[in-house]
Amino acid sequence: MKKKLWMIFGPVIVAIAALLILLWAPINFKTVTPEKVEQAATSLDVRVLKGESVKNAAEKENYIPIIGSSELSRMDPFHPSSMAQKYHWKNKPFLQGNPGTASLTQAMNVGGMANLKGNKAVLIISPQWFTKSGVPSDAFKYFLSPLQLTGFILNSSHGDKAMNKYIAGRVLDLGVSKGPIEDDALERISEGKQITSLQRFYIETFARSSLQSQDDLFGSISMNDHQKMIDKASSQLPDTYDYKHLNKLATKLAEKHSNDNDLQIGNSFYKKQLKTRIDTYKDTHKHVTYTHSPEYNDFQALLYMFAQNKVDVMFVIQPINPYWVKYTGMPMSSITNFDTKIKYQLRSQGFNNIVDLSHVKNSNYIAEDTIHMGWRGWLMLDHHLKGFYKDKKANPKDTQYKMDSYFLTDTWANNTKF
Amino acid sequence: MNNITPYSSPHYFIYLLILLLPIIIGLWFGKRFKIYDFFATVVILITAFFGGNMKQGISLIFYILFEMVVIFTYRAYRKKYNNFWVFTLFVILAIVPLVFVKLDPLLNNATISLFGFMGISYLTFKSVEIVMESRDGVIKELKPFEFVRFLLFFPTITSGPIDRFKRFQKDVLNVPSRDEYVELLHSGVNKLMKGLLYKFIIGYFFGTLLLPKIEILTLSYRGQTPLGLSWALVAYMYVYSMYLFFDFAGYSLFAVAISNFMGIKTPMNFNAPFKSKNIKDFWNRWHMTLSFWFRDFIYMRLMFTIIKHKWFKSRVTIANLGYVTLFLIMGFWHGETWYYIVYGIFHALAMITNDAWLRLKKRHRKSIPSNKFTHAFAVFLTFNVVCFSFMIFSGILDKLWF
Repeated sequence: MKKKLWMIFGPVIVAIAALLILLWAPINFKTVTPEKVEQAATSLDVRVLKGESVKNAAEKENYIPIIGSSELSRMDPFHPSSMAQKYHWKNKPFLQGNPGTASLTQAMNVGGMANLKGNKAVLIISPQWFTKSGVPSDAFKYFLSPLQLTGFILNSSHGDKAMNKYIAGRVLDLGVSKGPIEDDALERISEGKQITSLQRFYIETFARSSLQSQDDLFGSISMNDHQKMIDKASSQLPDTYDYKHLNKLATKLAEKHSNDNDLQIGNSFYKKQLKTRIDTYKDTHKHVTYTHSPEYNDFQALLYMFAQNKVDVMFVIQPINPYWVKYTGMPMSSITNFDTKIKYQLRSQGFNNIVDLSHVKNSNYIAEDTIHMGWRGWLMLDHHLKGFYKDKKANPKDTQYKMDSYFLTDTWANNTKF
Repeated sequence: MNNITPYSSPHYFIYLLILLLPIIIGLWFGKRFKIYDFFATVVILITAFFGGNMKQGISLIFYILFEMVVIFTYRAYRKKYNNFWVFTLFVILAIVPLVFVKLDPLLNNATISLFGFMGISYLTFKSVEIVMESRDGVIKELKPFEFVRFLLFFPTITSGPIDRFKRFQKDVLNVPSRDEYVELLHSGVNKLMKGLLYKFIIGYFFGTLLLPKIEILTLSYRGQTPLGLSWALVAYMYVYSMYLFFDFAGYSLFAVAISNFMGIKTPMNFNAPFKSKNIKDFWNRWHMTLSFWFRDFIYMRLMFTIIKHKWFKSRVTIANLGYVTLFLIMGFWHGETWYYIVYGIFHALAMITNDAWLRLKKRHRKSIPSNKFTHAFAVFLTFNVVCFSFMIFSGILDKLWF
């Protein structure tokens, strides 16, 4: 009988023991090597975004994050990762963002990067985030990292109360549910209360430590690899950096790669996404506005996270392909008004390093397709990055932010008079 | 505390197994602790239904009381009389709460579904079975306590499998011998592990990792191609089908495994459905307790009534009418949306076509080949027909078109 029982339960017991050791034993699984970090910097793998260990390792090396969304995957020769490689920038970009990531996802992401404290970062803002309904719940849930969420819950005892309240409430409103104890803790934070010591104990000892082990174990195995793409891109660049020369090269290459349409849209994108249905977009953006959006509040949460970590941030307002703007009939005022509003939110709180690419003199080939920067757009940004990337540490004088919780309110989300 | 959906996360099993331990030890020593069983049921019900604002829990209590009144009134009546219309009335009464819940989204009025709680369908199947078998005189004795124990048997409370009263009673009144129980434990552990693989690994892969991406891709063709059709939709069809099977089969395995630990042989819900050689075979392997329920309590009874009253002569017509009725009811049961109804009609047509084919094959037995290849083709065809029906069922077309 004993043998019979062992045959039934033995394998289960062994499996459980192995699992417990793997997930909770205080072993540091050293899977994050400098090579992994290098790969992760351009991998754009969603596990990198949702994890913590690789990014925190990168912060100890010479990387400065570029936080954004879908534009990061436009890896032409002028993409910052390619430029940094070719011209041996002292610090390298670490790309964080995927199609569908917006402010709130990035707020959680930044909150999870403990080692970002006192360093620099770049944030690429897309006007398209700021729609009337804000980030779609599905997209947010897809990118929500349980690991970062537990970190947020545990950190809620300090930091700005208004921000913690806002984020917790918003996360719940977007339909996130990561377990009854986590949900209850978020509920408490959203009501402005401290989490209970039992919640803290459970989340710290059980939930988070296991998620950390999982991140250590699986966060960087068989990631996407874009190194070859970057190699190929940077090999097309001349050996010496000369802005004027590069500007010409960018125009020439872009022209060559967008010659099957007269909207300056990259051929492959045009063929795959637009060719057959281009007519359906004609004049469809006539009434688009980016000035009424809950995204402004999410964006404020992200600013709080930067401020809390004393991060020196360069904000980049991403350009839209001017030919596309014209084709879809989007009024210029949509973009101007957005610019004014977002800059007001930034400047009035002391975030003064803003690179606005939405209004430049010559905007030819500034985008690689419709709404994603590329070619000359990247090059213009690189010009600013070059100086910014010389030093990894934030200048404490530049991180004296004066945060205002007014920007977390509905009033601000819908305000256009300021 | 919010409601905890049974089996929805791996953590649940840790709490559940701790709760089950006394029951397992008891059965090991040949004892059933009635009071502890009751206690464990209460704990599970509280975590599942009384979290948050307790609305579901209160609904559940009222539902149980309501069904008890219906069933015991009918049983009292049935002792002396047996009028068909009275019987029909009581069946309808037993279904009324479920109808309310199902109609609710349609009426856009949240007030009428007083009985809204997770798993009401499955409890209703059990209640209706008892009304029908009371009429047949199959269920001779039924104590209120037994009724509640059967209905609230917690391993299967939210999504089945749908057990039958007499079968359940046989297990619950009996304590398995040591050897039998070891076998049950063995089967329970195997099913539990298989369920974990199905639901949390394979189902997770298809449902959580793959499906959202493919759905976004599929919907990106909305308004771009004729009817928004694309190859992505084909991919969606297969991925959704895999998700549906592994998620639900995994869940059903859990329910059977936990029942086994409690010394109850709850029937299996799935038997390798994608190996089916035709659509009829499929329904004998897919969500079996549901299709057998429909077969026994709707299809067979309808057939019997039609034949008895000689409404139709042709056996083929009668069978086809039965399929349409059965699958329409199944469609409506899933929910009042066009795609569930179309899903029902689609399966009815598939069954009718299948019967016609089988008759044709019988007549031309000599000229139609039957070998390994035709068998493989039959399995392949059935699989694709089924996946297509699940694509309708998924509601993706609703998102794509409307």
